[in-house]
Amino acid sequence: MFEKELILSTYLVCVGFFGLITSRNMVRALMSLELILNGIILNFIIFSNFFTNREGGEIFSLFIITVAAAEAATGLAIALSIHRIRKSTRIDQLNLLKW
Amino acid sequence: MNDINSFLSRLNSTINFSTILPEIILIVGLITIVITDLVNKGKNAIFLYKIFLVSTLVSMGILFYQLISVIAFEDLYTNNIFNNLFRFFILICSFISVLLSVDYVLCSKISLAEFPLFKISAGLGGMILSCATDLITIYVSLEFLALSSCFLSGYTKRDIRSNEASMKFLLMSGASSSSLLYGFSLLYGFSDGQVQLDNIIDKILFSQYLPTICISAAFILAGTAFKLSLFPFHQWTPDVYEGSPTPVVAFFSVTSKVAALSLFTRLFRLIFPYLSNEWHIVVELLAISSMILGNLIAVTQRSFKRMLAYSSISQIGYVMIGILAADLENGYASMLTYTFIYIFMNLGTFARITLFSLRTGTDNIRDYAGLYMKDPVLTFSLVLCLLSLGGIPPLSGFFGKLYLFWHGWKAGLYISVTVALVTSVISIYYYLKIIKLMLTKTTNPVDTLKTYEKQKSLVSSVISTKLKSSVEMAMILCALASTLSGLFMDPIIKITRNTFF
Repeated sequence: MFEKELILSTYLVCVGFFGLITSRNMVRALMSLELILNGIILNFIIFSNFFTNREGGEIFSLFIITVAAAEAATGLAIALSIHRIRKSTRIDQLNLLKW
Repeated sequence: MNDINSFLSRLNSTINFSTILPEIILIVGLITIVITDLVNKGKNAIFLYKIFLVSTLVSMGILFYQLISVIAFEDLYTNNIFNNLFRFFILICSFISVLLSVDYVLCSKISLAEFPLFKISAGLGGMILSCATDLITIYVSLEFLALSSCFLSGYTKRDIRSNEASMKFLLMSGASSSSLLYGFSLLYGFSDGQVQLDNIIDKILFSQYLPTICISAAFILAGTAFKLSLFPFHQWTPDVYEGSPTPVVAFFSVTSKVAALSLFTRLFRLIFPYLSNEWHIVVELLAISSMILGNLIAVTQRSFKRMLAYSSISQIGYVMIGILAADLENGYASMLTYTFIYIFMNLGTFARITLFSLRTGTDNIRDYAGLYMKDPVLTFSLVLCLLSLGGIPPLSGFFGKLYLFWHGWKAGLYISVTVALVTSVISIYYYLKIIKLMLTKTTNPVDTLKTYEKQKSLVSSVISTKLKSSVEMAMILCALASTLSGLFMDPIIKITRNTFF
């Protein structure tokens, strides 16, 4: 039916996951997390286009956008707190808690 | 004016306010705490904690009354009993974990007002998650719980380990709830645009897109297994537990696990009942690997909190057996009973660790040596809770595990129950190792004794005696509950029996 659109949103989610796993900077990891959530929002909108009552998917997308904003705010607050102590935001320097 | 009247009457007919009255009381408590802190400008912070405790107690009282009335009427709203029991558990968790965190927060001289704020918001998120029936509410309340826990775990800002734990928690929890959300989007799409769980079941029952439903089940499993810290998704647990401040670990080790259990059970029971063969096998594999991994790695740990993290991974493996073994006549009784006992055992152990780390400032297991000489009350209650975690009779952990494994055996999960029994024996080793260390004399008792005495005098000059007893009150409560609830398990089982849905 609409495989191309679903493939597009899945591609966005995969790119976001790749960025989250392989980024060395904390802010970049947070951006990839936003990208994952945007891919999922696209998924919802694609599905909601297909039905007669579109409210479910579109309202859910608004909620996801809000939660993603809250999560980004949380992440940046923690990154700021780490930056104040360590003067850097590299993720691979978080190695105090091991095994 | 007429519009407002008609609107309010319509609102009253659609929303039954008495069912969400516990949450409303918590929200009122939250607003009161914020306003009181602004008015007092940071003085008299103990009052904030008293507001929190009072609002939690009132909320618990109302929920208890609702529970009793539902059971007394013997209505067939079994769904309601399940949800209300989980809400009650989460309120108990919040209450006891705030009791044991007051001293710690006072001592560490960080800002006091936001702590009960985040705890209330996390408790609210957990409560709403326990009775959510549509996808939007599930996702938003799950994120509410996760973000509040994230702020709580990074609470001691000056401590770099706390910041690291919090960053790891945020990134991993964001990734896993996006996986859950992807599963939800597939469910939404293939059920003709339904968002309520009941409507979704009707539409996908005879759908032709079975492989896609299986894919969405896999994504939802990945998302919820993170919160439960099952095997391949458990990597965050030891790091976050070790880095965060101890009372915070106590709080979200029980609250987020209890809330995630209710979410897991409801999603997989309601939406995927006809896939039950497939996800039973997968969850059984996950449970077996969590039990083996948790217990084996906990043997090698040197930090108490990290060891408790691995042991909680294995405890959730046991609880998974309870979920798999649910049948028509008993419902989820074994899982609910073991969760109830697990809350008290875990919170009791964390209460004692908090007290000990307040007095000596260390978390190493080796520093617990010879504790019997210095503080016999602490030693004795810690012995009780650790033995209960290990499953030694006549403490309640034994009865919980007995009931759980007996149900699992009856349901035909022979491999899981055998692995669980073997790993329980392994777990007794590392609990007994700590008990032996505490009860025997050490070779060099001088150093630790000196630091113990010094910290004790520092602490007791800062806190008044009234507050010093709150941690001890939590300790005694949990010790009593983890000892006696095994003997009085029959009424608990009777309440939790009627929960199959």
